[in-house]
Amino acid sequence: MVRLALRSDSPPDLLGRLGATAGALLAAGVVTLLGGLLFLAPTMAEIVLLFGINAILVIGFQVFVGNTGIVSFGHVAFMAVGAYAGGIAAMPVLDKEVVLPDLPGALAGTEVGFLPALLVGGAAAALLALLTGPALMRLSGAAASIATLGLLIIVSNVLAQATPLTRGPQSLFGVPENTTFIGVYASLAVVVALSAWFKWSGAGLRARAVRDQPAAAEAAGVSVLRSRLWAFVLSAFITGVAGALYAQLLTAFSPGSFYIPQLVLVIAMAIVGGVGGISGALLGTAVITVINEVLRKVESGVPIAGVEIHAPSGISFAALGVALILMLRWRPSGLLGASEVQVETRAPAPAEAGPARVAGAAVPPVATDRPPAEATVEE
Amino acid sequence: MSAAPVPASRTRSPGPGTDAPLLRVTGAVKRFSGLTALDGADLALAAGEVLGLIGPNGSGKTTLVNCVSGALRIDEGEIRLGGRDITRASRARRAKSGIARTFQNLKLFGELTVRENVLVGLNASSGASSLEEVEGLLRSLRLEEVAREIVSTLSYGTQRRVEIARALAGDPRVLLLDEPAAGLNDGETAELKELIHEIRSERGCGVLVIDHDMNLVLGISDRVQVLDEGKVIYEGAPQEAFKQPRVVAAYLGAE
Repeated sequence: MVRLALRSDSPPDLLGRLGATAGALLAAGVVTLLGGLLFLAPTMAEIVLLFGINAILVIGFQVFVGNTGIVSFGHVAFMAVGAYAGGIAAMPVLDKEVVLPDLPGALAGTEVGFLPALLVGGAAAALLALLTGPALMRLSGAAASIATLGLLIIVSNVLAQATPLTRGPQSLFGVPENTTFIGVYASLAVVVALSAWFKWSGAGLRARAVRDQPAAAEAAGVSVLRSRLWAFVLSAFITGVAGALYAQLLTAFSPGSFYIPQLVLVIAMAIVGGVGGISGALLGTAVITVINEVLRKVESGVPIAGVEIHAPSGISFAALGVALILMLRWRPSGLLGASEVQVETRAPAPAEAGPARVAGAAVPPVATDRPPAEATVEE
Repeated sequence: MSAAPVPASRTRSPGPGTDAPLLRVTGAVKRFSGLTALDGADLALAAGEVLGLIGPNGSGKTTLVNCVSGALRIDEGEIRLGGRDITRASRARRAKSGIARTFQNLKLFGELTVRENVLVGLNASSGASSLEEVEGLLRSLRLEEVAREIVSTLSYGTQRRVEIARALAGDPRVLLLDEPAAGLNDGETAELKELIHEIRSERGCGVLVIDHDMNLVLGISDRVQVLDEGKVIYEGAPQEAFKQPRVVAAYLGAE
């Protein structure tokens, strides 16, 4: 029997892990279907694509924050690095001669397609995480959060000054518009599967153990630094891919595109949905996107009963702040908390211990009732 | 405790120098900015032995456990495990070489399930313990029924058992139990007593127990060691401990 469940505990075995991954993919599928329907309306096309990219971004953020418990203010830096690396990689050689005449030889002479550009964006961001992580991941709590904000400030300023590579504070333009509906939502599916698999893997388990009790995790032989670092690198990769998608959607952007406003957007989406889970990340992105777009419409004026109503401009951004405050007051763990959509292959045992259940206590567990092998093998 | 035995661990060769104790702390000194918590304390623990560590509040018992587990570094002295010097080894490294512990104040992974908590403990094993052993541990500690529950939702006594299961999952050579009976009722304490016996006899673990429940400590220990102001003031048979004037004086504060 196959059924859908919304639960926050871990799947007990390999089959359960596949089910949990399938559940997350199913949630992504629903989002994709809705996006696909809206995409048919011409005015909605860009919103639907931006929504998909934001969902990837929020999942990238969630992979780190949800598994390590450290609130990162720095993930927009990975998005920026992914956007610049992916964007420059994808730019046609002829355009590079005009837009970036001082680009170093090897970069100036190559151009890659859509998919390789995504991988370049993700890899560049992951590399940055791998280099900075060993220093940043030693910190915990607020100190770690502020340090990641420092990373964002540094990256933003380096991008604004590295003129031969980025055109400095000016807009980088000429990135080909390769991002399509399929491109975004196929990436979303891959990213969702990747992060669900990580969450339930041995590495994910160790990261969450460190999140809950670093001292006890260390006493069980877990390296605090290493377990956080894997989550950091994976989440940076995902965020970098989002950046590369973003670059190939907008085709022109500047370092300012990846700063505090973008950061607030990501945090709002993650907090509203619930930072503990992938399903929450998807839901939060959807809720904030809808609120944002509706208010933006109102900002530009909507006719109500024959009268044109204009909301004061900036209200959509202020609404983000209100949404954040309301969530933190009434539902601090987000709409879904740490719950995930999971596909279960059999109904869980009833809570009431029936006669069969009592008798079953002495019986060895069935063959499938075995935790994932990954939890032990590596390290 | 249920009838199911604690799964037997792999048999270990005692290693070089069989009569040498498994764990030996020599002349441990630990200072906290002016306060000397450990003042040249020694400790020896053999495989298959239960050692009770007692002493008045503030005598340095938990500090000594923290120094052995690696949560704290000693300022002077030496710690050897199976003949190897681990004085400078990291906490994670010590866990992997076979030192497991529980905490005075429970330190469980609160958002994780019971099974996940125990699985993290498996991380400390050198690879010989298997996932089947985790299932065996869950069974023998009567945690099977709650294996999928989030651990912070469970009762205190159950959480204590989860912590012990997590420590055992790594198949430790040395098990440090810091006040394992704190907060347990009489029935649970009796269970704990039996469990410690099983751990010792079936796993061949060296077990160090700190507790304020003297019935428990004197009842289960092969040997006790009394700490006072960071020094060992008695070491020997449990029943003799409170016949020592120094020990009585330390507890009652008499001169």
